Amino acid sequence: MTASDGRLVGDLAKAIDESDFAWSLVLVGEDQRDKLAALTGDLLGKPSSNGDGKQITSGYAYWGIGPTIAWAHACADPFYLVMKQSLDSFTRRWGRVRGRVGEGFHHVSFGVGTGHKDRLILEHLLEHNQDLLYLPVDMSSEMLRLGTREATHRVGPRGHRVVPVQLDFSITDNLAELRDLVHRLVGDEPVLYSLLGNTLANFDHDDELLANLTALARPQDRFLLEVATTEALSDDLARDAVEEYSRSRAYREFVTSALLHNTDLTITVDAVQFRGSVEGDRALKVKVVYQNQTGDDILMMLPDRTRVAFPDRDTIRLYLTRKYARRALDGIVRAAGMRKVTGTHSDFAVPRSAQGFGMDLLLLAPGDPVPAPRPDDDVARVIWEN
Amino acid sequence: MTRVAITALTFGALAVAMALGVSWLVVSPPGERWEPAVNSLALLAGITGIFAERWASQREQRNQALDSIRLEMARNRETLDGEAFNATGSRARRVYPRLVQSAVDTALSSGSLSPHRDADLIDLLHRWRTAVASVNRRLELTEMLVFTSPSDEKAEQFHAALHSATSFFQGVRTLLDETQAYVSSR
Ligand SMILES: C[S@@+](CC[C@H](N)C(=O)[O-])C[C@H]1O[C@@H](n2cnc3c(N)ncnc32)[C@H](O)[C@@H]1O
Repeated sequence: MTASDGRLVGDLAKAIDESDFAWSLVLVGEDQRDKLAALTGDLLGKPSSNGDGKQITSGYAYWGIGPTIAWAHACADPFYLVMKQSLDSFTRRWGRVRGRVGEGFHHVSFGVGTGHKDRLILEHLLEHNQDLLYLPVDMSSEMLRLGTREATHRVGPRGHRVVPVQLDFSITDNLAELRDLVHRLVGDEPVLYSLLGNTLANFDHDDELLANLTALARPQDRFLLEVATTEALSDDLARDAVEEYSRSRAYREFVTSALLHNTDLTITVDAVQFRGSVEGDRALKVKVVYQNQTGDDILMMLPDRTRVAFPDRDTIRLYLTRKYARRALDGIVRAAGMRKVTGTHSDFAVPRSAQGFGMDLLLLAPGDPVPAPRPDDDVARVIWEN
Repeated sequence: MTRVAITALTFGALAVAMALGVSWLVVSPPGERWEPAVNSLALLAGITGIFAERWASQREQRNQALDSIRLEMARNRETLDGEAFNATGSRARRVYPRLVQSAVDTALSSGSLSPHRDADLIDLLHRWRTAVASVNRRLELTEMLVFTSPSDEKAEQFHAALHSATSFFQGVRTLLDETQAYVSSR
C-alpha cells in the first residue's frame, strides 16, 4: 500500500468520524446474485408435506429490509418468549460471565440481529480496550446496518473501528477468508467471538457450523455462545415448545416475510404451521412450515423471474429452531473442540412457559488436546437410572 | 422333636380323655349321667379354647403388624413429599432423609402375616424392601459424590438425574402408592 492509499483510508475514517450523516462502511464478502441463485435453488426442492423439500435456510430468513424489520418487530413482541427473554435477561447473564473474559479484547459478532446484546458486550470490552475493533458479521446488509447502529450508538467505538462484514458464515470458505481478515486486523490481540440469540439452532447441521465458527478461535481468543435450553426431552415438551412459538403473531409475520419479499405468493399467516419433535438425545426441534392450503397448484415467481411450482399441500420450510437439552450441551461444546470457561443459566420466569425451558450463555475457549473425562452428569445418570 | 412329642402327647391325652368321657356317659345309668356329661363338656371347652386362643392372638399380631406398616408408609410418604425431594426445591448440596423399613422387616420376620392369605402382600413388601434399600444406597453415593466435588454443578446434575422422568426414584414413588393402597384395603 502506498502512502497515498494510506492517506485515503485515514481521510475516509476521519470523514466518517466527523460527519453528522450516518455513513457506514461495509465490507461485502459475497456476490449477492449468487445468494439469490442459492435461494432459488432451495425453493426448487421436491414436493413434501412435512417441510423436507423446499426451504428457506437460515440467513435468508433475515435477508433484505422486509425480513429485517419483521425481525425487529418480532423481537419486541412479548409473546415471542425466546427472544424477549433472551434480550431482557441478557444484561444479567452477561454480567455473570463477563468477569472471566479478560482485557484487551476485540469483538467479532456472528449475526448481529437488533444489536442490543452487542451493545452491552461492547460497553464492557471498551472499558478495557479503547482501541477495540468491532466486526459484526451478517448475511443481511440491512440487519448489519440496523444492528450496528444500535450496538455502537453513543457507546463508541469510533466509526472507523467498526467494520461490518456482509457474509454468509455458514459457508466454510467464507470463514477461512474471514479468519485471515480478522487476524490481519488484530494481530495477536485476543478476540471475543459471539454467536447469540439461539442462532446456532437455526442450522440443519448445527454441530458442523459451531465447529467451523469456533475453529477461528486461537488459544488467546474466547467464544460466547447463547442457546435456548430445556431440562428434559419428551414429545409433550416438544408440543410446549411449538406452543411457545406459535403464540406470537409478530413471529409468524417474521417467518413469512422472506416469502413475502422473495416470491409473489399471497401470504396468509394461517398457513404457517409448527411441527415439533425430539431430536435424539440432544434437542427439541421445531420446524416452521408454510403449506399450500389453497386447494390449487400454484406457480410462484422469484425475484429473478424463475417460476417455481408450488403444488397443493406442498410445504416450504421457513425456519428451523431447537431447544437444546442442557445435559447435551457439554457434549456439543466438546465436539466443537471447545471447553467451557464459565456458563450461566436462566429459567423463563413466565407463568405460561413450560417447566425447564430457559437460556444458557456459555463462555468457551479452545479445548485442551487431552480427551475430556466422562461427562460429569453421566455418573449422576448412571446412579439414578432404572 | 420334643415339641412335636409334647404336642402329640397333649392332644393324644385330651382325645383319649374325651373318648373315655363319652363312653362313660354312654355306659352310666341314667341317674348318674351328670358327672360324665360335665366332664366331657369341660374337655371339649378345653380343646376348642386352645385353638380359639391361638387364632385370636395371631389375628391381633397381624393387625398390629399392618398398623405399623401403615404408619411407616405414611412417614415415607411425608419424606418423599417433603422439601428435600421436591423437584423445584433447592439444588444445593444436602444430606437427604432416608426411607424407613423397620416395620416391614419386623412383619416379614415375625411371621405375623399368613403365608397363604397374605401371599400377595408379602410379595409386595419384599419388593418394597429391595427398592428402599436401593434408594438409600443411591442417596448415599449421591451425597458422597456431591460433597467431595468442589463445584456446585455436581449438586445440580444429581438433582436433575434424581428427578428425571426415567429416574429410579419415580419407580419408588409408584411402588409406595401401590403398597399404601394395598395395605389400607386390608
Ligand atoms: C436469531 S438472530 C440473533 C440476533 C442477535 N445475535 C441476538 O441474539 O439478538 C440471527 C442473526 O444471524 C444472522 N444470520 C443467520 N444466518 C446467517 C448466515 N448463514 N450468515 C450470516 N448471518 C446469518 C441473521 O441475519 C440474524 O441477524
